[in-house]
Amino acid sequence: MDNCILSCPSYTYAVKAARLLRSRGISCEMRRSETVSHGGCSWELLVRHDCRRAAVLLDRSGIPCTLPFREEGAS
Amino acid sequence: MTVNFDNAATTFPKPPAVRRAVLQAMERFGGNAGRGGHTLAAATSEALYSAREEAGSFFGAEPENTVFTLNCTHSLNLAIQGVMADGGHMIISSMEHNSAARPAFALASAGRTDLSVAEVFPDAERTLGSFRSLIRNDTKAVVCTLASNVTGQIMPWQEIGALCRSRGICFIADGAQACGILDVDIRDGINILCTSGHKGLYGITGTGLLLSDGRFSIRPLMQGGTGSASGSLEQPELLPESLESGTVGIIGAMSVKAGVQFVRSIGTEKIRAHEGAVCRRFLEGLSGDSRIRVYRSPESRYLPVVSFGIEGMAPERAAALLSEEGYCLRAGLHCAALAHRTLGTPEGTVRFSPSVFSRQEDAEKLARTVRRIAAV
Repeated sequence: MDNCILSCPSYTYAVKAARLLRSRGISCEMRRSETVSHGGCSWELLVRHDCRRAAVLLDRSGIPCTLPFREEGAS
Repeated sequence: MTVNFDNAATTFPKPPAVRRAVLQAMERFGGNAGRGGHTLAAATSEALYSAREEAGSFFGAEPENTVFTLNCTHSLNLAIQGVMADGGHMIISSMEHNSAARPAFALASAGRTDLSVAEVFPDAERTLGSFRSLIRNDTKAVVCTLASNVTGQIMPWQEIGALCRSRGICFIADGAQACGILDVDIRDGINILCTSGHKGLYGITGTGLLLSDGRFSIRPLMQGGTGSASGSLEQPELLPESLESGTVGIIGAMSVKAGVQFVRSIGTEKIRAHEGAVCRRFLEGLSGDSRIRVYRSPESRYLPVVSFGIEGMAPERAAALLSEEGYCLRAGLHCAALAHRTLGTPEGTVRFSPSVFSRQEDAEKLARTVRRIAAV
């Protein structure tokens, strides 16, 4: 398993990122960040698989959703 | 009987789909977009994003570079003051609406920027030459309407865009009159497109758009809640939220989405053809009357807008008489002092502007009424 949480700076970028990932077959779930550690009122994507591929894809597409923390228990 | 030929101010009537979208937004989207994760907020956020996608893609912009504003004036102020925040030289055309001219003059009057006004001619090449001759090493932005709100004259905006691109200058385009009628795509050389949502896009009043290609930074005029990075006292830098402090009007945004879908469903080519035919019928009805002057040149291309004057009669008086006959036309300076100086019409003109709902027979009847009034 390669699960992770990608932090997005706004709702707009979270939706854009989620759509891009899903269009490439990468499963993800969009949700509000539970902590304010990313600046507060941010959104995150829980990526179920292909975490590295997801991060690279978003970076190449200029979508600023980044990989600050790995989910607890994720390999 | 009321016949609206003042659609350049705001289109009316609105399409049934737009009316339905407004009602649906009132009924369904009761949350605050981008704020909170509960179901109401989520539904509203999704709706707003879908509106960004629809409006943005229509003009070749990404959803995150599609900003909802209050009107085109708001968009132009954001663009002009935001791009020129650190000073420099800017050029505007001599046909600008006050929505572009006033913020440009205000910056120059305050000593924050240098301003040049490029004269517009009937001939597009001469107009382009005006802009070219005024460019300096410190020119930061060129502001030009895509088409005059007074006469409908279409500017050589793609050529101006190419000129700006070759010199690294930000091209800010005012699309208030052209959007929904001309085929406008920001990838054709526009860096920032400003437009209203309630004219050719058929949304409700109180709506506007700013569409960016993301190449130039726009410093916000307003700071506040954006639903993002709330832990920081610094305004976020990312569009669209950086320019959308405070709650976005979801009802207006959904009306713009429905309006854009309406325009797409017909196609700008058909809209142009229809409105152009209405204008031609009106012009044919006026032709041959020496007391009526139409402000058009054979050297120029025009949107379906006609500015005219009646000899010996103030434009406001003519519009008042036409209103008594049931015709709604706007007279005077049309918030475009520079344009009327360029045209040499200090008292203004009377403006005829149809929409996709206008009928040729109404234009013909109006022309007969104009001739009758002119004969009195």
